Amino acid sequence: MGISSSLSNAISGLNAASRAADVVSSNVANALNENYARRELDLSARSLGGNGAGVKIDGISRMVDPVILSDRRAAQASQAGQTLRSDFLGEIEMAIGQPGESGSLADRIAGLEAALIEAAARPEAEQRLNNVLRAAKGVVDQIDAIADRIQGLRGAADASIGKDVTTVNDALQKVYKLNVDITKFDAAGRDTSALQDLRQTQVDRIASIVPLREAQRANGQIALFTTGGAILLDGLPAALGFSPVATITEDMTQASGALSGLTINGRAVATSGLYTPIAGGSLEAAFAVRDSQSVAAQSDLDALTRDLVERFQTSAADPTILDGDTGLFTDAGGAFTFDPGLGNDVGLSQRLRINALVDPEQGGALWHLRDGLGAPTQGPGGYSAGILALKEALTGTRVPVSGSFMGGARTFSGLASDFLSQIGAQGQAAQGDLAYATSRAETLRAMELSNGVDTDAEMQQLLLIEQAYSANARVIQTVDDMIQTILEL
Amino acid sequence: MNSVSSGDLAQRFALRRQMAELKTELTALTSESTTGVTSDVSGKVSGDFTALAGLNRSLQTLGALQVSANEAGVMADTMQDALGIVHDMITAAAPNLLQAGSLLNPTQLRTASVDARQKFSTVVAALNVQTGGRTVFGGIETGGPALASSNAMLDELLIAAAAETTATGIEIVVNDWFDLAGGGFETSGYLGNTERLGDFQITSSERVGLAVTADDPEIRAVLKALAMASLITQTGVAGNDTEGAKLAKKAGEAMLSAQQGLLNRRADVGLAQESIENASLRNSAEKASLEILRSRMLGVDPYDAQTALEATQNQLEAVYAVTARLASLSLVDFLR
Repeated sequence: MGISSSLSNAISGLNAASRAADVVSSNVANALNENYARRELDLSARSLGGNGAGVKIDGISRMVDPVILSDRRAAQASQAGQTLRSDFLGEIEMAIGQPGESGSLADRIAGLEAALIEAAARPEAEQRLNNVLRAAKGVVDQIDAIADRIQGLRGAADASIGKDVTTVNDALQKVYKLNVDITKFDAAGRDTSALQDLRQTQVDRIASIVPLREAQRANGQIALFTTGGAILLDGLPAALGFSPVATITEDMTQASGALSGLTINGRAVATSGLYTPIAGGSLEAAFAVRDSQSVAAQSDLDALTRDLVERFQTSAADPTILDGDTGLFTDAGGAFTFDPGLGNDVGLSQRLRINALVDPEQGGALWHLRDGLGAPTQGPGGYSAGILALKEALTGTRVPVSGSFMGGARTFSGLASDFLSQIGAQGQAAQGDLAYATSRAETLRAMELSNGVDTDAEMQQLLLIEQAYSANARVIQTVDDMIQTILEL
Repeated sequence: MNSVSSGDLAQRFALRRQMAELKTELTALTSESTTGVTSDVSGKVSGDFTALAGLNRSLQTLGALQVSANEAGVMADTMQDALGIVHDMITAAAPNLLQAGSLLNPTQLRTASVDARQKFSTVVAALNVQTGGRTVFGGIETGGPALASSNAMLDELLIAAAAETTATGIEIVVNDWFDLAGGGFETSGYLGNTERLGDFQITSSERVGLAVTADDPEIRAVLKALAMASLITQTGVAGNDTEGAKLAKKAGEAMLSAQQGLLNRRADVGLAQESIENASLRNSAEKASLEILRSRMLGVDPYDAQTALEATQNQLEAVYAVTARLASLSLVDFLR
């Protein structure tokens, strides 16, 4: 009470001011750090025995808005997932090629038709027959390239799942350790804000892969749950399990066991559908790309290939063969007969070949294009009906018997453009979704960042702190003078 | 202490994002205004490439159809020229033979017959015409000549008619040789294929047929008549003026009646020539209209593109100016 209490009050004030300067300096130093939550000093009046006794430092609080934080994490997860899906569709569209681009599927099919028309005008010209062969090989090569791309993207999705799972496991371990450290330091009364910043960064790493909710636990610890309901960290961290595959072929699926699924703590979980615990985020999107989007694309491509092969396996296309015999386009050299039990149309795109009978490089002869595959010897050079029949087979309308195409007869180039348009329409929709998710994520990030360090405000604070410090120092001086006055009596 | 503040990074984040957006827009607009074609085809057609694919396919096949039409045109012209020569030959030979047949003058008879033999040879050569290495009148056998040489045919006829001494007899032999199924002409005279050339595809929906062969009855009639006239001086009727004159008269009349059939064939080829020419015109008109359609589908109005480009440039400059200004607006600069 009295002078000594004023002294202790002033000293507590000095402490508070210097602590506040410390906070300000920390904030200003981290002004460019995006993973830093602005600190504020909490002060309250200290009371001893019911009487005021200066200022008490309650602690340092991190200015984090948990609502914006969790919304931003959810939006970033959605953005990451949509980016994966949209990129996949864009890649497939680029592999197929747009009509008008040289080397695109549509371009090559039209090239085959043009080569057949020119060959029909002069069927004895070997160069024209060679052009037909080259154009047909061009179609086969392009279909093969698209199929390879699809499986390549599948492999990339599989690899990205592996990477994501490793990242999540690593981050969960780090969060667990930070939880333990925060509890220890909190109990010892030290400032844990920096550790909390680190923990927030680690949780952010997980959040774009698997969207999650954070729950506060006792002693400054947090628990993490995915929005789909799986427990990632509650006391002890969960461990995600996944085994990547080196190369993926079209027959491998998760159902067949050739591709790995996801396990959490050793128990297998669904990776798709309404009740998957990893819903939203890039992990689910990668599974969707690997297990449903690319499978659908491969299936449609196989349906397109099947239509091509079956068009030429008729006696209408080639009077020298019977319906169902090996035609101009073959399944690895032989005829294609659909077997629903084997599902042998899967991967037909990769097995598509030109019949060896018409290819001089494989021991065949070009005149088979003109005279028919079943012709034993070369016929008269002016015979154009065979080539015109091939052209009619290509440009005639036919109802596709497999794939996700709507029924309705169309020409082969019409079917190919429908294939592209399906991918294209999905791609446009995905881009729209991505644009929405991106703008939402960016808006929330901007809102979160606006809670960050404002150097102007810190400078203003510094002015006040300076004033407070000098005022408290003045008080100490005055009290000192007062004591001196008494002592000099 | 609570304070109302706005973080530094928020402002920087927003400006950075705006700048990035404007720069990507700038690149897209630059390429659009220089090429005149939209830079985002997929977006322009809303992912539905059916119309564009159909259009491009038509444009590509129009090239091939034009080649086909040109070749059909050349073949038709060649055919028409050859048939013209044949027509001229029999129009010239017929009056000579008819005159020789009525005047009973042996010298005139011989002259007419030798002349007919030369014309026979010319006609056979005309019918063996090739264009670009393809025999025109041989059906689908385009490799070799359509007819055996005139001498070879006449030699065979001589052997067949060796025993005949009357005009009627020789006429019957010649008719049998040319007309009978499996007769001399079909086995050794006509070297082409009985199957005719297939139709040419000249537009996306039209085909034209040029199916005249040396095997046709109308051509055979011409060859018959000329062969008959050539045989006057070489067969059994050589010395016999009356029979020779009768044979000359028969040959001349046969030539006159063959003219009608020949004209019919020429008319067929003429119709084909006309179709081909119309098809060519239609093809080029279709090509022009498809290209206009494509530029309408994918094209960008250059005025709009330029205006948008300038607007984006101005916006970008404004963002730069704001960034520079805000950088200097800091309390730190004003404190001492």
